[in-house]
Amino acid sequence: MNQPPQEKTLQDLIGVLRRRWRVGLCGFLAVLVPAVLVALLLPATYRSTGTILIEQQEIPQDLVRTTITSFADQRIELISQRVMTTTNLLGIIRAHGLYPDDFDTKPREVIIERMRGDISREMISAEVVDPRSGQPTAATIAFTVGFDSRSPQTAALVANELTSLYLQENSESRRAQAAEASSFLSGEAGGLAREIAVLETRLAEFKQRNLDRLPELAGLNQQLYQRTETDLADIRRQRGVLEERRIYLQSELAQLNPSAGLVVGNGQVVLEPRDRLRALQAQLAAMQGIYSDRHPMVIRTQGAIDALEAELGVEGQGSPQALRAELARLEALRGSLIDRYTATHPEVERVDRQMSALEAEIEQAERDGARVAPGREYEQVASNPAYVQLRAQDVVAEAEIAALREREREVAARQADLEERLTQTPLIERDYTALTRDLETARARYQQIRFGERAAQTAENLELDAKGERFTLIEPPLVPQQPVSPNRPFVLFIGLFAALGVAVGLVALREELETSVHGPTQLQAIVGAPPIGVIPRIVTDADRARTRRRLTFGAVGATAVLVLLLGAAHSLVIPLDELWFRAIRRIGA
Amino acid sequence: MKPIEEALRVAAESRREITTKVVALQRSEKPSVAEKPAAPIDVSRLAHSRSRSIEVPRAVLERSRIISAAGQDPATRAYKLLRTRVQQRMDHQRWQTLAVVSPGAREGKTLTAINLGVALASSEQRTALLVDCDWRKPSVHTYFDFKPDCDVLMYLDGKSPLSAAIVNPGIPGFCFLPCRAPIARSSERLGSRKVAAFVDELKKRYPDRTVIFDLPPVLLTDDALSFLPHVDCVLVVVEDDRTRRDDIKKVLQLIGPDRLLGTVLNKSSLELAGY
Repeated sequence: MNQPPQEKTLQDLIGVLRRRWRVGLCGFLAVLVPAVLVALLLPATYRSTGTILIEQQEIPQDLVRTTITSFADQRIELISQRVMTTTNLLGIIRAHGLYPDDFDTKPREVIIERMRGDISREMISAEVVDPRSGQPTAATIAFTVGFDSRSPQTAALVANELTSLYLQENSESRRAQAAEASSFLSGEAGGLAREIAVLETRLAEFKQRNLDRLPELAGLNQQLYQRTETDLADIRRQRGVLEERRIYLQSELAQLNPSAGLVVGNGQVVLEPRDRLRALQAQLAAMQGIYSDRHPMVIRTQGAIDALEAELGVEGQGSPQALRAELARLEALRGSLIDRYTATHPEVERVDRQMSALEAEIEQAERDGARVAPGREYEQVASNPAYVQLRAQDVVAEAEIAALREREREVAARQADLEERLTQTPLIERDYTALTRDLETARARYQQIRFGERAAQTAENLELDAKGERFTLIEPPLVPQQPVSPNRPFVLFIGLFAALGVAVGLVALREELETSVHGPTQLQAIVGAPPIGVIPRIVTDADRARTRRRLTFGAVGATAVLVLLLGAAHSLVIPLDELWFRAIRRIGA
Repeated sequence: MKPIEEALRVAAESRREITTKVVALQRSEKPSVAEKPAAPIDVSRLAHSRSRSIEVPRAVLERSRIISAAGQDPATRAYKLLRTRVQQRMDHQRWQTLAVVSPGAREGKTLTAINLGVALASSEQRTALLVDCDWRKPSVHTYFDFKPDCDVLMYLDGKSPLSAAIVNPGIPGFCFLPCRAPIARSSERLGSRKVAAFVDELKKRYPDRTVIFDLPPVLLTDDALSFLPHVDCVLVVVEDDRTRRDDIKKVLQLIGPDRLLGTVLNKSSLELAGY
């Protein structure tokens, strides 16, 4: 083995083949014969396949959008899971009596697994351009469902059942999905409607509570406020005018004598008592300057004055004004006296006494309260027409002023009320806005949900009418004419290859394990020099005869064994003619 | 490959020359080799006149795979190729004795020795003597279907003259010295001084003769090793597809490179191209 590597020549190869052909042949046959047997004896399997087309929705998606959004592949997988349930499969197995040998002996799971293995499903895709993204994608446009069985009839029956299961499951699941979407949306809409009702009630209550202060009335209130202000100003202005007018009237009145001057027959105007009183008082004052109080003239004048005063209702000394006027006079008198006399002068003392008495009197009068305005009764008997007219105007103006005052009060109160509303509005606005916003939101959502619900109901109708995307059986499973497996020529081919490989491998192995020398080249490698002689095997006639004999014996023996075997097979296992036809059929198939 | 082809060409030429000579010789001098074995004309072959001649039928020779010098079959040609090379090498070294050995048994030592002897003897001015030194399983005489009365051992023991022991099987220039039956202590005897003297005597007596010794397997007994010191060179026979490579290496080691004449690949499946 430690010889240097040499080039293998064709002669070496031939030598190897000559030496090892027996080993090679044995290996070749040992593999080929079973392979041939397997290829011939493997039972045929038939596959029946149905093609289901995935049809697009008939109504354009733009008009009615389905609520089923999953991809076709995904849906097929989903449906497969539903179809391939143990219950379904067991039902099929029982109905068609599948796997009769194993059904009672093997665990159910094994049978189901076998069934799943026999079911084949293939997606058929097409290269399409996605209209949304514009990129080429593979879209599943159809799929096939098949079933493998030893019997072509069974394969077709089961495949039919499976395809119908697929179709059924698809429509059911789509309907259920659509109905689910629709009912979910309905439930949502109901909940939202209740929420909206609650919110609306709350808002109504709130409005009730804050009727005048609602922010939406703020503008109106502002306007009202401004108007009241204008009104108020107007009223005040009117009142001012009236008051001015009244002052004017009063001044006019003051200038007029209420009683019209009485003219006696001699054209002398009879003085009005008041004027006469004034005149008397002036005379009295003049007299008092000249005479003492006990002077008859003074006394008489005084008496007249008193009578007049009584007539006029003027309490000459009784009224505080009169008393004050008297006091002022006395003071002035005292002032003139003190210039001339000392304070102890009797005259001064007398004035002082009078003054103090007067002061006491004033206090007394003031304590007694205000007296009735003098001359009222008297005025009722006013007779001067101009005076009466003016007096009437004055009264009207006074009444108007009173009315205006009343009105002003009312407007001011109204204004205060409005002002209060305006100040409270921002406080209420916060709560009001929150409530309104909630309601708005709820309404918007409700709108949306309602829209969705309507769409879902349309989609549900679409599914119910089977107008949505649906599965259509375009190619029902037929009874297969040819088995799908085994691929006998392929098995034979593989067997042949394997046999060749094994043969070569065995020869190579045998050669590798070989320790003997082969050929002059090897010998040269060992010795270091080529052999000086290479003697061929000398074959004598005897050798030839022996070889011939051996071959003959071998051939005869092999033939005998073959015949015996075939005979045994014919009588014990299967008639040869039948086997032959079967083999022919299988190879042909 | 070039020198080999060249050598083959040279060998083929020399063989043709020799063959024509031999054929001419046989036609002119020995029309019936088997019938008149004891009628040598050549002086160098006078010794044969004293040896015993036997008649070996052609069928026996054929069955024993012994070549005939006049044959044209591939085996004969192969042996003649071998013969010429052996002859040239031995002449070059002035070697006279040649031991034929092999690593194991039944690899073709004896037949190679016989056929080499026959081939050597067929050339002019040359005789060959084959001595059966396989004293454990002597077999040379069986190839000629012959039962010897005397043999090499009897001569060595002094019981018979050498001429009585030497046998001419009817092939001109070729004799053999058989051994009748196995003996005990063969290796000791083969290594003895007596045997050495015998080998010397054979060399001296016939200077133009090549003496070939057929020996037992090298690796199975020590006979061959005991005897090898007496000979000039050794020819190792190897059976194609059978002799183990390790055994060949062992044998070569035992012999040493100096006295190795060469190796012969026997029973080769490679046919010499027809000519």
